[in-house]
Amino acid sequence: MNGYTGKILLVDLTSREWHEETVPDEVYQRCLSGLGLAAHILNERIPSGDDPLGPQNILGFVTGILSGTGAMFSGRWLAVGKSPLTGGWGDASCGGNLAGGIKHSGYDGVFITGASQTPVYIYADGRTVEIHDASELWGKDAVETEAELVQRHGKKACVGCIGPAGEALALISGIVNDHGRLAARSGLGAVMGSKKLKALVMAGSHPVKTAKPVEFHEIIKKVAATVPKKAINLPGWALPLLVKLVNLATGDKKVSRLDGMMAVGLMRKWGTAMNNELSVMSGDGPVRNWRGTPRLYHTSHVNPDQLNRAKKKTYSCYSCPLGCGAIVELKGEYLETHRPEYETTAALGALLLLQDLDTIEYINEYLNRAGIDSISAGSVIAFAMDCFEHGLLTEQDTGGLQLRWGDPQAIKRLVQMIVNREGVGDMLADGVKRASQQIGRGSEQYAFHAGGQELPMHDPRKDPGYGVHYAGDPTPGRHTMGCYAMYDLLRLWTRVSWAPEPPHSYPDADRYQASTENGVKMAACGMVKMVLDGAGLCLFGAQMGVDRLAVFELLNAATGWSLRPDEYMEIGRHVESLRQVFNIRQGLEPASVQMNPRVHGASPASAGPLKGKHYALYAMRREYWKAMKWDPQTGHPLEVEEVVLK
Amino acid sequence: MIRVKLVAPFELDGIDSDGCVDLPDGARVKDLLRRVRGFPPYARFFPVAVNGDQVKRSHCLKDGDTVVFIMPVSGG
Repeated sequence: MNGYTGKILLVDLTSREWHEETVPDEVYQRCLSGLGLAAHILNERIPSGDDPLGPQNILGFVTGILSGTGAMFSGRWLAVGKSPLTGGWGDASCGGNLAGGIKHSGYDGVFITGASQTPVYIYADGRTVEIHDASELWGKDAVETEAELVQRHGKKACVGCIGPAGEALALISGIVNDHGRLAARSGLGAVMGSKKLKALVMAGSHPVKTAKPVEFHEIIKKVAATVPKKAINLPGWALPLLVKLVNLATGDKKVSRLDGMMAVGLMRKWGTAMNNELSVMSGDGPVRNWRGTPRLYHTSHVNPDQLNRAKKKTYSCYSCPLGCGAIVELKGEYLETHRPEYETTAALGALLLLQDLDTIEYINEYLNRAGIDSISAGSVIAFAMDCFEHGLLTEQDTGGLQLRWGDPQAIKRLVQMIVNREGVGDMLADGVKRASQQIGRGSEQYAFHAGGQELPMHDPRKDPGYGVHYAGDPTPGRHTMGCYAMYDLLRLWTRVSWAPEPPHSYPDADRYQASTENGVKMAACGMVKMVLDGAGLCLFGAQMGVDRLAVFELLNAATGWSLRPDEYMEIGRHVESLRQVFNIRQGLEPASVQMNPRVHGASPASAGPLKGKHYALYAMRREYWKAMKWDPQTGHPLEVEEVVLK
Repeated sequence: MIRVKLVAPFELDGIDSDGCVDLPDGARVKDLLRRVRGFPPYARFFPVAVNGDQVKRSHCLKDGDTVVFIMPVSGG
């Protein structure tokens, strides 16, 4: 065993048969495990033009080469399949405990095809695979479902399941693990629901071995020494002040190169909530459905210390030394919830002008249990509110509900209607693109998505690198694929020969240029993300820098290979190309992915931190595609296309 | 003489390409602020961590230490 197990489990829910398959070493050498392995399998086996909610779609649960090895930050697992939201490649990443569950059961991935007539769940532990009736679980929320399955199968059971939203085929639903954490994006909860698969339960205990265990553990020790052991003792209100001070030092027109080490202790204290206030103030976080300014939203309610006000405990994902997650107490229907992540707080807060943190936390728990992507939920509610304000939706459409900005009761009620597919909620449960198509009458101007995927809570007018990836990556609308700030944090120039090193400060205007160098930087982000997803590593860990996390060194020690970082980046490029080819084979033309013109500043903001900001999105996308060695006009990776389509 | 690594959101003079700076034995964090050119006046308000632990300005540095000026970074 070289980190990877070389084995996948395939389950056909139509015939209720399963078998194991050995994957040749060459596949791992060409694609790594995780997302790369999935791109290889799905390209080979999902027919062109297949219905994402039909039985031929394949739903995969995959782990990385480093999952289960004890490498730090290696607790990520991914769900994969054809996305019903975009019609192309779909994937969603999650922490929690399922990565270990799959790998310790002896598999790099579990792939499910076909569809059951009645609700079922799959149990596997490396010795047996069983398909069980799940009629009693159908209708239960995800937290209840997981608790029930752990009770049945013991504490080793790691569960990925859907809530009522996935059962109802809501296209904005995800897959839930570890008491309410979601592989949220791409609508893969609906794919699981279409197969009548309530849960996957993995309960193995096989050890995972590496090719060079002594060297591997030496590297882990060195990495451990770089990770701060304590949180930083600082009040939350001081964070925006620090940023303002740096801006004073560099001037508004310059950007300081960021280093992830500056923020590790802050992540330990607040998790991603660290960004709640800062993002709104800086223009990074969208306000009032992308059409407002920070003046409309008072951020003190979502100050990071407010998010910690009822903190019960912190927790870590499988194999993580940082522990950026926390459980907070609630009053009322639920006793506790996960401390809402930045994306959730932004999508339910500033995007809707909702100030009430109690309501945000309640909805967070409600959505986690229902199994709905909180980014998409916030986006589709913001869309509905804009439509209501502009007379495109009326009280007649909403069943008497007045969709006023920031109204906690109206927002709560609409969330329930979406989960239950009730009234206007039925339309909204399938996302903003379909809702705007259904309403018509110019409503698309209030719809913010990329190719059908609701946009994350980072405004590309602040960092245009986000825009390039939202509109140019094979998974549209994905903030974890890269931006200029992320390029700085990853420190690729320390390992990759062709990756340019940014100066310690540089003109902000440089980020807005459609230049060859910017294209290279964004391509580098995409490639290394494929390496991280093939390794099973967490992006937050990697933001300490690929050198400090020893990404490439760990992969070599685990596999026994002697690849150079440049060669790993080429593997990343290949996986990106495979995913792009998947889209093309499914009829999703890369160049057809467009975004609301407001997101690239086609009519620039007249006030606020984004005043006058705009960038040539499609010219920048062409530079990115060129750097990926794809056709800059069409986004077609011709070389891989020839290989795959043979 | 000791050599420490410096991670800061400021453009500084006098640090080498590895981000390191040489200081006399017994130097403290506050000495670092005096000796390295480019620290803005308000850098003294920034919290500092040495090898991950938050320290005061009077903290005595050792050879091989990593000094980090704390600063939030965007992400989600």
